Amino acid sequence: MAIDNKEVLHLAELSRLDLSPDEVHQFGQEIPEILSYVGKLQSVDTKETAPLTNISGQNATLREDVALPAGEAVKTALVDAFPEKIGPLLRVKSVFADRGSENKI
Amino acid sequence: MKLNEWTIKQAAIALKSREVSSVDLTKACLEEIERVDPNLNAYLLVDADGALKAAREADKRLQRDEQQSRLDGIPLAIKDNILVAGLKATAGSKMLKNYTASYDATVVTRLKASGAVILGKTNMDEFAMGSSTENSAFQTTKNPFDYSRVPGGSSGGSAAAVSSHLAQGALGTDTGGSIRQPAALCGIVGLKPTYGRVSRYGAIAMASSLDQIGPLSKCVWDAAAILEAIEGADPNDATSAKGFETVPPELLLSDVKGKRLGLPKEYFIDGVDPAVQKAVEQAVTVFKEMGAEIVEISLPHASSALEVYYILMPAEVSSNLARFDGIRYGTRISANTLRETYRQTRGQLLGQEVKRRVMIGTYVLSSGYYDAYYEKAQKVRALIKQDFDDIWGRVDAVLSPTAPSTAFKFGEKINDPIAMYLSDIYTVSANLAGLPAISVPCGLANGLPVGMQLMGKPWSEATILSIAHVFESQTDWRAHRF
Repeated sequence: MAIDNKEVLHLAELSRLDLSPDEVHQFGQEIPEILSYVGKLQSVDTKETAPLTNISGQNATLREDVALPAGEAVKTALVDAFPEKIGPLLRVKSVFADRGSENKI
Repeated sequence: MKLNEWTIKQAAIALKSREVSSVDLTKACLEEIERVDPNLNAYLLVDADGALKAAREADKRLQRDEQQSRLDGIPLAIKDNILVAGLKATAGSKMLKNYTASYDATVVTRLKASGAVILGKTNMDEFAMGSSTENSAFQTTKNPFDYSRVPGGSSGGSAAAVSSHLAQGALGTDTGGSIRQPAALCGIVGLKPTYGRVSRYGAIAMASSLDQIGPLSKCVWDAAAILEAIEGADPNDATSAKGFETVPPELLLSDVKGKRLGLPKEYFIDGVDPAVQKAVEQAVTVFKEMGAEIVEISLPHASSALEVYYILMPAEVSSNLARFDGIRYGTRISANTLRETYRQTRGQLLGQEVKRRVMIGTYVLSSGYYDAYYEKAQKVRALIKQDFDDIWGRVDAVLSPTAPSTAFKFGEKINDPIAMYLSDIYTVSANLAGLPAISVPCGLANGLPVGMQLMGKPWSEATILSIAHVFESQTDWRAHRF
């Protein structure tokens, strides 16, 4: 099954990827090939089968829900990694820039 | 033999007897890296100062007879998707080109506690996606046996480094074969532990239900030594397991009499390089001569494994790589709006294979396709695991080639994604079913290494390491090129 450019662009939008026109064309050919290859699973009988979601057989035990201080060194390392900052604060573009269509998913 | 050519076992003995120092060993590796790596390109980063400092500390402990462990003073390399605090961790991607790790992965904490010396970070396919290391955003690692060929991937840098004696051992990660396949192509040992045996905390996640960290080494004893140091329950990894027995390398068995090795009839099919097939058949003969029993088994859903993998893995990838958006770390391509910042950052800084898999993952998880692809794949995954559960009563390990071919030439498969994906045909099942699996050299074909894979039931590392160890001691396929 083929997918057209519109579908590639839709996937790119969902994945938050900006693609060049060449990439749109290239992925438009490669993605259907891969989907066709993996689509062969349709022929496997799974009527009586439950999905496998737990691989290690462990029941994950989570720690207690209390805040643990990470320490100055960790905080410094994390702040140093911020691509843009004001003091120790991470700087980002406004999340609610306007109510225009660009903010609709 | 030069010091860097020793195995960990040999080096540990020499350190203990004060024949050499850790600084001697570390310098030998660093000198060889300087001599060979400008062409080989195994390392992305060499931390000579840090390594020598750790080596001097190790020597002080050795002089006081206060060794931390059998790895004390041993120089190792770490794949660049495993965090070493203070060193860059790029995962082979432009996205993290300037990212400095803010903490140690648990495996690194444990290696440091054991006294091991960290030489540097090795090259890899970007975000561990690939079977040749050609997808690295930075450099091309060569196969030590033939510089016109790939070392395999995605842990190609670690495999090439160990094979060329630029480190005494290394860590890699394995999601669909990324430790075992490069180990096979570079003529060394590579082990993927049982899912949950080794903590994934501090490994940049690719597919969380499939990833494991494991050793690449010159011999099986060394792999067992590294595994012993890094394994174990970790409160920072909720999928890590408690209560299994460790496998000290001294306790590896010395014979395989009566061990039952399963040969899946579905694995020995067209598409395997005849020279690989021949080498594995010769290994079967060696096992028979050693008193092992060969049992034909069937894994009925074997032919679906790659398809299941290439649905589930991209799905998990699309989720795990959502965090690389230019906001909190890594490089940011700043645009007018937040959404454009995400799109430009990811569009410009993620490579082709990564984008391909993220989009496939997005597709199979999206509304309307989820049931037919993702949920279907999870069900077939259950059937694949069941196939293995059904045979452990009759066999102790499953034997197969590790990879369908020896090292291929650069460029040979890079433009055909599916041809590249087929490199994983024998390795993905172990990740899907959570099984331990080891690749061990079993021959040469036209001068290129062939690896044989042994898979065991969950938590049976002692069994597969022992069988591999005995095979290795009866044959001579270790990478001795010098």
